[in-house]
Amino acid sequence: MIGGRATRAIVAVSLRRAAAFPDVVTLAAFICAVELPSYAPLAFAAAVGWATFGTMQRTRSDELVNLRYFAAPLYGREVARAHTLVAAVPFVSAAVLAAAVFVVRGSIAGSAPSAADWYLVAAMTFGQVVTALVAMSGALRRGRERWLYVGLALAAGLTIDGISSPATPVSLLCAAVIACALGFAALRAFGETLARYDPID
Amino acid sequence: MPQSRSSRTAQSTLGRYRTLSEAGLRSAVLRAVDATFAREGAVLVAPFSIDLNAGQSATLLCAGETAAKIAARMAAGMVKPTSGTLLICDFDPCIQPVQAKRVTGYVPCNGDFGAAPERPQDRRQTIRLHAALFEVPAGEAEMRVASILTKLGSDDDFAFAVALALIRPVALLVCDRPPATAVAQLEALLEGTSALLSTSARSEEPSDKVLSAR
Repeated sequence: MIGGRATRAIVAVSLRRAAAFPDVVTLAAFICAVELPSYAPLAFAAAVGWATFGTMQRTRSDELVNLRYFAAPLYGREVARAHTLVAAVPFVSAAVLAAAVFVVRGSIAGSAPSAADWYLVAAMTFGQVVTALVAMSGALRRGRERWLYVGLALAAGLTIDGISSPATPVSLLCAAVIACALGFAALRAFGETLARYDPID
Repeated sequence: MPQSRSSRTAQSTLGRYRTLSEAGLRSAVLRAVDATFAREGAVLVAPFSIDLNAGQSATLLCAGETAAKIAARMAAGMVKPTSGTLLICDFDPCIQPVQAKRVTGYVPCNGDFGAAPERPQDRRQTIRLHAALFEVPAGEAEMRVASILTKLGSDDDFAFAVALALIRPVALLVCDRPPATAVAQLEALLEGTSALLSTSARSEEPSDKVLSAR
């Protein structure tokens, strides 16, 4: 059963409950990485750290452990897809807002944003989404396993951001390929995690 | 209205069970043999055994609120037993959780799904969400909920939770710590559906069986 309807319903409800505002920390990190290249590593670390701990904090307390979804005859992968889409929205909207900021700034200064800026923002968005995806699996675990997932999430995000740092088409392509591979593996693992999770709290 | 493929799958899962049940090839709707749940060395639900046949109701009397809550979720296929055997319509929730949940309706304790929405549009949204989760056409779900609330003669939190659990036909209705009058309220609705009430305080209303779990 590929439950597109259930996935869409969960996404709609989750976005209604947790407003889909752009993630402010991610937006600040995008702007910092582009405007102050010498501080880019700091921006990467802040963005990835925020995506990890912010996602774990948010998802632990609300929709991820909503009992409705565990009572329904849904496969873990269906619920995982829905939560992933919901988690991606604040990062993608932060990227769109950052792009708007660069365009406005460019039009005021009389120069268009450079292609490198777009590459960097796009690759960092991939990094944020993959980090959040790995972190969500950690949110449902305890103790040492949770910290293992925190480490994995940080490593995945920093790897993607690090690869994208030259801000060239090749670096964006590499970052995109790695993000897709890691994201796919993380999505499968998250689905498995949800399927095995026992909602006893 | 044409039914979705998954809706047909859900109905055929229940239909197949009922056909085999009528032919005497299947017996218990819920069968537990020393089913238990433990976490980090602590036994949260002590071993319990039960054979609940079609149309029967039973009360599972647990020592505490936590045990009652987890036992109900085990019977609904949401929590997997850590030892022993538990079968819901012959489906093992450890390996067939989706099939087990298709034939089970779960009524949470007040607050676990949140209170019943008061505004009609919020209530409608909740029904539509459940309709999507359980692959029931939205219009059919709304009519079914309205009909159940009418039969129950109430639209409080418990009645609304029961209506959501029975949004599609089920073989087993599991109530987590229901109000004392639940058996009498549910009597009009069950019509061959089995019911398991998990509680930590003995209900004053009679049910077919009272079982004890520590």
